[in-house]
Amino acid sequence: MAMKQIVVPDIGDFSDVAVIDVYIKEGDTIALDDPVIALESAKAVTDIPSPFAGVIKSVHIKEGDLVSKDSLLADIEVEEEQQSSTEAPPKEEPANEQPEEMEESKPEPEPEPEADSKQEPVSKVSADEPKEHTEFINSQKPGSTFHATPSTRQYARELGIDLGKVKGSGPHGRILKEDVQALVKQVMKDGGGSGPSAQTEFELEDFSVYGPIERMKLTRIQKISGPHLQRSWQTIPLVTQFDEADVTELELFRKTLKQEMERKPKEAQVKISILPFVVKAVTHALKEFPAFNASYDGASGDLILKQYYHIGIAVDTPDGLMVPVLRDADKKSIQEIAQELVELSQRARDGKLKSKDISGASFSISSLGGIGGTAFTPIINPPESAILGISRMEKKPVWNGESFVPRDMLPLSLSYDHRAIDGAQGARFTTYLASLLHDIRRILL
Amino acid sequence: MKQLERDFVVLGGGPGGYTAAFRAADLGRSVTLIEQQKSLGGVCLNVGCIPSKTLLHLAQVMDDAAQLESVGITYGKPKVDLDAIRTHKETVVSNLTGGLDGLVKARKVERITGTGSFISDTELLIKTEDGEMTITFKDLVIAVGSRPIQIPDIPYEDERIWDSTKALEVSEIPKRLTIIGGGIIGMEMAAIYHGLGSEITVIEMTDSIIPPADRDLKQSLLKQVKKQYKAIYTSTKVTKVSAESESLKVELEGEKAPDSIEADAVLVAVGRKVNTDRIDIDKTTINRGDRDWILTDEKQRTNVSHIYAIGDVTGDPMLAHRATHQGKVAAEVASGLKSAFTPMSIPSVAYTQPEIAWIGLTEQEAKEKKIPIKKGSFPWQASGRAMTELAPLGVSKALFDPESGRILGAGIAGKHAGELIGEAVLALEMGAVAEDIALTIHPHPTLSETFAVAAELAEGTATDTMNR
Repeated sequence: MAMKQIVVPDIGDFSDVAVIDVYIKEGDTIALDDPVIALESAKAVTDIPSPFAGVIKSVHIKEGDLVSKDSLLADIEVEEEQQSSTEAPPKEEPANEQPEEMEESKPEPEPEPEADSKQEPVSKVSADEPKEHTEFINSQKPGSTFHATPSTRQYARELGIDLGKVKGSGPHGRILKEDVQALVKQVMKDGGGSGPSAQTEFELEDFSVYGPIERMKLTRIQKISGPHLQRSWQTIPLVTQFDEADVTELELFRKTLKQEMERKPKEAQVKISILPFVVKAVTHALKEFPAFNASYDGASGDLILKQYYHIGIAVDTPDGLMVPVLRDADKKSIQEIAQELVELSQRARDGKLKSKDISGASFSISSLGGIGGTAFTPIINPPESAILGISRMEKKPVWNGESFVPRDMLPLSLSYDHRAIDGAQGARFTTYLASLLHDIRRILL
Repeated sequence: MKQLERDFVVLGGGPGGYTAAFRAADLGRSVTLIEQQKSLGGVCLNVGCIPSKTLLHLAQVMDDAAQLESVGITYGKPKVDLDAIRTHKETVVSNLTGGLDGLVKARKVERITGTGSFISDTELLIKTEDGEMTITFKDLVIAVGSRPIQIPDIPYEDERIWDSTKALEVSEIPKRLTIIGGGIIGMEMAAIYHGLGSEITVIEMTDSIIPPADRDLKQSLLKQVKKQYKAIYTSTKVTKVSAESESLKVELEGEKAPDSIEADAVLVAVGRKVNTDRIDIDKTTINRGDRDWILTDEKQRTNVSHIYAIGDVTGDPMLAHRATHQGKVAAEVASGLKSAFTPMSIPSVAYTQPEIAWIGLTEQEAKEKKIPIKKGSFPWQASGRAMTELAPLGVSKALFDPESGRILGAGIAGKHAGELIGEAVLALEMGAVAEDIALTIHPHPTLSETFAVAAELAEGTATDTMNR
């Protein structure tokens, strides 16, 4: 047994970074790479992994503390002491006391994307899943619980498979390449499940033989959100329910409000778009259909219903898509929601979002209404169970029983986790939401 | 000053460094290899493994020839031409380093002869005969190795105080050679100079020579050297060495050791320290640990994500075969492959006479950590091949997990033990159980059979000896 110190690793050119979460407490047993604290860096939240496995003896920081490289976080009792003799000792590997490097916190030049560059319906900006975490080193000591030959270990490493999760079918339980393949197939079949991500990238041709090409780096946010989106898409069996809300009356009301607003002094004016109404209506619908304001717990098979209504709003920023969160939207007035949306979007564009601004959403809305399109299939932002997409409102002829009349129709695209929500429920949700938007007075009921 | 921009830069041209350079070149990187010496190969090729094994071989053959006397073949006392031996050693070394130069050219690796030191995390300062330049790099592998440790109160300026490099120059054969440090290097040098005719005294601080090796393995060696050497003082410290005109006075502190002994040369072989102090590493943010060893993860990556470190500079065990494997991993990871350095064991070999080799778990380690083992141990007196080789001094043993039956470690002492241990490493990496080894037909009569019999003994199926 040996006492070691967990310190803040090199997190780039930052100092005095705020600790926004402390995951450990005295007496906790943690494994190598378990997250110790979360730091708020640049635009993302970064978990600091433990460089040791062992038992936490004392914790030296608390939430809100400011830390820099080498700040002491905790003392940990580590099980095995590193052997250190100057004459070649028999078999110790090099000291692996190295915390994983954190690329995402290193400033790097990024190309400025066009403001109207393609917008993904859902994103994830918290960097709680550095790509290193999905890499399994599969190191193996004499006497370890599983056995795989060096080539099998390398194979598993390439596929990102944790050998600890593979059941060996070889002689004496040896893990064969076939066992690794079988697990990969299983994971693919299960759509990911809780298993590791096993996909490999497509092999690319040399496109330059067909014509000139150019390489462009994705933005940091895209790099972080990419794997998260992929996992969401592979893991969650999602269904998208399309509907249209007749918002003709709502639009009339909104225009009246707008005129009233223009008579106010400039600083008291708030631009009220249709989005605050949708947010408000959504909170009502969520109360009516709690499964949409929930998280599916794959481990227990339970649905965790949330009794708070924090709505994530997708915002297009120069660095990529961000999803700031409007907290307790159900308790706020339309005007308050409108005001806050303006502030959040501005801060998102300025890169000034704090980690609490981007965490804790229970449901998300992605509005592409300002750009165009008739419908789209948003990807769920896990662990949420649903997301609402809004496309461009259009005047359409609607049959009122006697004639076609022009009505303002707002397209709704609701994606939901089919493991937790039935199709009928999905249709009921959009119908109910459409009815609220059709006559906003219903939210008073 | 010239300012260069380079892709994949390796600092240090030892076995780890050139392996990293060659592998990276094969993976399509544009590689620059910086080495201060004119010949590549580092300590291993120039002043370590290769020259020492060249000389050990000569000592072994002389020893073998002398042994023939006991069976009726008598040669005269060997005449040793030290200049010819040195030339031979240098030819072996230059053949090998020349081969490396050929591989550098064939792989189109850019070679810079000069010293490199850091300016920052992204820039190196290179000093060559033609002047200075700076190099910025995309990826860097630090492979600057290690050098012998010096202990205090020794007059290093005196020509009769040697380190391993000096000893391998074979510039003279001292009448009385005292070796401070009974580790692998010390014991190998003892064998060389004993062969050349020196009277050997070994002083070891711990209670046994070659501390990490199991006692039963060392027994074969001790039996031999206790006859051959003047003295081996264990649990003994050297407090001072003073240069007198006629000889060196070595003052000792130990229960069974005299207060002082005289020597014509003293070899200091007490371990090695890393060369991190020679590359201005403080100008970087690279994390280092105890004894200034550079810390890396299993991908050989330092905390600075585009800088890798391999070999001795990352600590123990400071062995060429560890460095070469790490060099490959660094080159592969930097080139986007998902490699990692995860050996189950890094084999250790003392090229003494007889040799001692071991891998994986040792018995002393199993005892300390209370790891249950099932052991099979086969003494070579019962091996037909050992008898025909006039090499009955030896033992092959293997340790197995009583639960799973898998091999946990192995040790071999005896002639060619270093060659024989290769099979045990493979068995360990492949997860062989005792039965796998026992049921694998080994050719007869060979020394390799002894390892199979050790496995049979663990299984209780041996017939060449009684199963205990």
